[in-house]
Amino acid sequence: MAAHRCVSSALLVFLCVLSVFTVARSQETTPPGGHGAPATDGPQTVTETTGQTAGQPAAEERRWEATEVKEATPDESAAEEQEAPAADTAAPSAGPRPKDDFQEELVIRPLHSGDIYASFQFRTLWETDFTRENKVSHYRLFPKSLGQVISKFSVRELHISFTQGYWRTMQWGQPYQPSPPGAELWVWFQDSVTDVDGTWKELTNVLSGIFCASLNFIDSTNTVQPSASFKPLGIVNEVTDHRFLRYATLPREIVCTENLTPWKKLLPCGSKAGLAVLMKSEKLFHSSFHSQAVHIRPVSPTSWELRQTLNVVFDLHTSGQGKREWSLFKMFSRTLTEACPLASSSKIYVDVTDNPQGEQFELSPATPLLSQEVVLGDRRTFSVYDLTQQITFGTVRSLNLLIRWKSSEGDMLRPLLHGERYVAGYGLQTGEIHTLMYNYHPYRSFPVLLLDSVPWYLRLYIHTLTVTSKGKDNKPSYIHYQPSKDRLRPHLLEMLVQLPPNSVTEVTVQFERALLKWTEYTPDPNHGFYVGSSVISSLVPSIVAMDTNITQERPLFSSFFPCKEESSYFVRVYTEPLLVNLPTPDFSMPYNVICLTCTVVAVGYGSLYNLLTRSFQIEEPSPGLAKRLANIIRRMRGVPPL
Amino acid sequence: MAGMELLSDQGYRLDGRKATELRKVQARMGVFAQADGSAYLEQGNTKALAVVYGPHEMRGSRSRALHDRAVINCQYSMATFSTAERKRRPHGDQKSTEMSLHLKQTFEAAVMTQLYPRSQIDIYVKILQSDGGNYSVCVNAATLAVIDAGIPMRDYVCACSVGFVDETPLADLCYAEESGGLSSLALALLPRSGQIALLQMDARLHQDHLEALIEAAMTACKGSSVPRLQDRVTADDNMGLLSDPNRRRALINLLTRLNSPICMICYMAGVAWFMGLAFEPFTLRTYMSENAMGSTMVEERFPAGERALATGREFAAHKKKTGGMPADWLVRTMQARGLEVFTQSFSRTLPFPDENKERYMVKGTNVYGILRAPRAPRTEALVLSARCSPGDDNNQAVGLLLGLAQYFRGQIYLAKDIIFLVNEHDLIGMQAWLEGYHHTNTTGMDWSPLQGRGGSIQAALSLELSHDLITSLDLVLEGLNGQLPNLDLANLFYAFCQKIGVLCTIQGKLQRNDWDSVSGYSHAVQTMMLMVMKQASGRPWGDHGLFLRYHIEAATIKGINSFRQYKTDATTVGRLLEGMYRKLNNLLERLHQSYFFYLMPSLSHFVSIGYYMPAFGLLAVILLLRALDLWVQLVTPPPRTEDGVIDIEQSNPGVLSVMTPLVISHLTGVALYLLPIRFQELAVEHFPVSETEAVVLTAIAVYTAGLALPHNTHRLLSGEGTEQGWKVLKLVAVLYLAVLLGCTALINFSLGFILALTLVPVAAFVTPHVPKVLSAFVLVILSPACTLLFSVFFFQELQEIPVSFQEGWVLYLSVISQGILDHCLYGSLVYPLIALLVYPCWLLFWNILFWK
Repeated sequence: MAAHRCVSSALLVFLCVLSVFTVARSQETTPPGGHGAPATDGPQTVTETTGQTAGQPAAEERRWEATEVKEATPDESAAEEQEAPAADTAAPSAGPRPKDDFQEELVIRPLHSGDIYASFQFRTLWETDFTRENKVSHYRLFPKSLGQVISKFSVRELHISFTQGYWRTMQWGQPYQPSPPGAELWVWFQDSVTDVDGTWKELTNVLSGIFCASLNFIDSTNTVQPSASFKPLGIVNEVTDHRFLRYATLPREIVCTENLTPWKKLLPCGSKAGLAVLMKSEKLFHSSFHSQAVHIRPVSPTSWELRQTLNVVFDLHTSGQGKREWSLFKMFSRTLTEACPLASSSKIYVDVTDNPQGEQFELSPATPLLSQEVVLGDRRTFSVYDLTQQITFGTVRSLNLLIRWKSSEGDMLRPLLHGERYVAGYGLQTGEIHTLMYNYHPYRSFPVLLLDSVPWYLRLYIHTLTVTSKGKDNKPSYIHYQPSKDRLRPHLLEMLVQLPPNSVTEVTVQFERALLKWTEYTPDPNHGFYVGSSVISSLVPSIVAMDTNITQERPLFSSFFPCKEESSYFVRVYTEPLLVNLPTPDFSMPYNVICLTCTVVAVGYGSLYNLLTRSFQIEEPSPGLAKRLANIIRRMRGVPPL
Repeated sequence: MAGMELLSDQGYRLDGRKATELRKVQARMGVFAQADGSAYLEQGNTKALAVVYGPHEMRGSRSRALHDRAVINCQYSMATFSTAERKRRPHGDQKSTEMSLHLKQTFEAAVMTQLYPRSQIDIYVKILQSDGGNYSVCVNAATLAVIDAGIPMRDYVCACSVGFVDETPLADLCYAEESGGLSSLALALLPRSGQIALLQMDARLHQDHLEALIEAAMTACKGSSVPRLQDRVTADDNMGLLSDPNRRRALINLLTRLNSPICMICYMAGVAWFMGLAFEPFTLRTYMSENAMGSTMVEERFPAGERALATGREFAAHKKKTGGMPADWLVRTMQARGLEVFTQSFSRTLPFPDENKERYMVKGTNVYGILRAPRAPRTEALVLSARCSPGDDNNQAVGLLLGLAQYFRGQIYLAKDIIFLVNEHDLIGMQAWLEGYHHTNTTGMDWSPLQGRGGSIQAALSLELSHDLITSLDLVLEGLNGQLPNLDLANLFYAFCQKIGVLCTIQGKLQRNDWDSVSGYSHAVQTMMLMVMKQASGRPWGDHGLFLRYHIEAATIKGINSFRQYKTDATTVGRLLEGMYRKLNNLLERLHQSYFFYLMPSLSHFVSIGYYMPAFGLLAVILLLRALDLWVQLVTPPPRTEDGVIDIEQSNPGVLSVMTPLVISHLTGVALYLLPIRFQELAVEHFPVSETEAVVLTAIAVYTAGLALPHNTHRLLSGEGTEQGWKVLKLVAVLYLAVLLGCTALINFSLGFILALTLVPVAAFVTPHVPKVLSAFVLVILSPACTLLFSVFFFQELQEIPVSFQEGWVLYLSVISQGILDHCLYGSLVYPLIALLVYPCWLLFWNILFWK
């Protein structure tokens, strides 16, 4: 067990690198001869419905697989064998590749609650070096505003997300890109930066302008330097000293169209063509969850990746008719007619894992292409629509995907890791923060890294910190605590906790609510004060490894020991932000009365005291400039001043 | 000018001062303890020490004594080390003698010597360091010393030396200037009157310049910090005497003489003020102080009243089938409506069986569904609750709750999560849920932890609806310990009732418009008195009552079906609730405007704390007046002579005689608090009563036994109780009562006011000298227990359900048991307050009556 933990904590750091790829590893489907049942069934049924010959889809499938493998190559080779330049050179050798490349995709996952989850991803790769060549002036696909930010502030990695709403893990499963409610920003700087805090301050202000958000409210009171939780995701990791990392959240940030518009403008096609035409703000914000993010990271010493993601969950109940039926038009009030012309790949994936025979929902138009991926430790099957193929749009020249539910049966696989947080107690003096971490894995325990950043006005009593699971004390193997400084710095608490199988681990810490100075209250202090989400990062044992059917699908010789790559996957879970009331003067009538009375008393007493104690002196009129200069000269001469 | 330039062209003197600038002054008084007065003064580098002895009898030959005034004896000397050239300065050289004489003349002018005939005042001044201006420093130092000795003076004397050079007067000369050969002048001034006490010049000066020089000297004297220094010294001394003792004595005399009439008037005025609160022109109209909460801007569209009633019937059927909370059915129904559903089980064993509700060991389940607001981060929530009670009670409320849940699920505008809670065993279930939600345990209940939460709860409504059609909706506000929700919640309800056109009541009373008629006024009084009674009881009057402890604004809305023609259906009630929840949902802040303390004579009028507090204040001031009276009586007879010492010694056993009754009566209070529940089993064994009866009867028995105490108290005392003794005891008791009632009224005005109404007369009139039997009877009638008994009858009368004495007595017993139960179950504070504090306080007065 200990050895395993060792391996897994080593993996934790290493796989953090991989973690942004929620698609952990593309699973190659075996050639048609040795197929498992579902993989062949899909295309065949499709073939019948579309009325095409059996040979064509098969050919298509093979062709698609070949490109997929090629695409996957640079990521993987870079990820797993950083020192091997061979893989790096292999990728460009495929042909005279342009120096930059743009891909777009949309993943649609029908959820069991009847809701639907749509996740957009746009990736721009650019082979350039922002750090060494100072003059990167010719921009093609990569947005110039962000490129300038990278070179000006020597940014190594930049991750920013704006989220409205809370991801309901227990109903919706794990998201592809987790993000906390409000705004989150974390940045790794190059080790050439000397004044990290100053650069960070400037950077937040610039980003605030770019994204039209209140990121300028990030200052030292809500910035932390996590020691373990946020490792660089870039493939080239020269900088791992957490002095160059800054992490901040703004749980109060409201996200709306004014944040979406600048985000859309960063795309090469804007919202004019391709998948981005679907992003109508009135529909995107008529949803249960909305999250948009930008991730910038180096993927090799000379190339940078910009990933823009947008995740939306549409609610079945608020969508009106109450019919369990979704279409692109209903979700986005648009249909698709073309791919972005600048994109090298443009695809739509629909998660059909729970629907192998079409018993759950009906998907139309049907597609011949299927893909199987291991996503978040679970083997998922997707129907793929390639927008670069004209055939996808059919005769009507437009694609309107339709998902019609047939039954509401079926259970969602419960997510293995889940976090919750709340404030216990009542009254305005003290309280207790409870963080609950659920491990639903039936027999595996795994370590999680908990990061808590609490503002200074909640004074944590760190000696009351308790970690219990199953009624027993659970001693964290690593604790990093940085106490707060009033008005300067928040509390930072990081812990590595082992979660026993099938258990709830509760972390509690008591706090006292500080009394603020009267100018420190926000304009509406009676709303309450926000405490940002805590972050739980973990390598979770894979569901695939838990699956007993695995032995049937695989050759026997390959399935005795659990396969390493699939055995665990990286997950980051955010808890709810907290809204805490601080002792607030009622800035209305009694407060005014108190102020007035105090003023009267102060004026009365003050003047009396003044009369009694002040001594009067005749003040000399201050000498004029000429005289002062003369005095300086006289002093230098050693003559008494005038 | 030979030698030095005394005044530079730029107008600076040798030591850098301007012509009119004085040297820095520092002083210290009371340097010596032995002398009557002493002072040390530094003026620049000149330092002097002055000591005053006297006034005392003439020393030496008495013949020098003057019959009409004191003789001032001054001695001036210089220390050998005081100047640069160190030489012996024999006592009595000419210069010193001259200086002594000058000083004497000066102070004879200033000191009010006529006050001390045939006596002598000695002033000794020594120059420790001399740097010019010796005379003036001596005078200043001596003045400070005289002030320190407390010798009255016409005015302070302050002195200053002035020199004349280049047509310019130089103030406060230093040694270099004095010896520079300019003509100098020393002047001692009484600054207030401007009179010159002494003027001395021993050089030549042109007559034309004299005027200017004297003027400069006087300015220097007035402007110097010396008189202000002296001023400050005297101000410090006199601070304690600022108020005029004569006037104070007169006021005290007045208050003592007119004490009883003033007390009577205050009492009447207090009661009258209170009754006036219900008079409409004296009260304020309610208004929405939170701008976001007006009834406009919201369109109510809830359509599904009939469906909700059908759901309610289905719920009733399932309830009947399971014989309690149909948890499974509720979970399924809520899930089908798209809520996140959770359950909580709880159990509680009551300290003794509750006979009103027939429960002892309570086990139940709460079911709640959370409607997650879209795009909200789970930080805020609203609660709608309905209780699941046995029989046909409240089914419609549950149906409507589920209907609203379904309706709200389809709406996009929600910004806060809404929690729909169905609680079993009314308040006990609610207590379990709230404790679970906030993870506290105040009353030792067992509950399973909650699985789902929605952040901090901003407001809650509790629904009680047992009819398909209703005539009116009643609003219940009174919560635990008399806490009230923010008035805006009541306003919100009223505003929507007006908008939708539903009859609304408070305390079951409709609003009337004829405030100017007698019946209209008495209607308002009744409504207000009902609120006062309910608030004073300290118990939660609806399921909402427990929310208030957690600073959650909450109210109960009760559907009433009477015989009126006008009926309202469930759809309308649903629309009303929809509107209220949308408004609460729109609210960006907590309800925070300062209306947490109020009384309501009708739904549209309220009495704020600023208006009702004077009524209590007028009653409380009686206690303070009596205390003042007693204090004066205790203090005046012994003057500050040797007799006083004996008196104080006499009152020492008095302190003991105060402590004994205090301790004994509080022990009785503790017994009253603890015994009823502890000894219920014992009582049940020995007497043919049930547990509940045992508890109540034990309480009454302990209470009555306490009345026998005064006859036994004095046995513990060493001697007889003195007159002084009971006055001290009464003083303590009255002040104790004042503090007690004051604190109670701040927390729960109604309770404080009712207690003040009965206890203040007791406290005011009781002495050992009033007729014993009659007074004892009055005292018992006005004791807390009898107050409770009357309150029970009065409350029934107000509700227009008068009861016979027999029924009233039974009700009284059940109210006592209910009070004890409320304390044990929910933490109501009324029972411990009465048992541990009010009752012992009343016992003290009982003690005074039987003082021996």
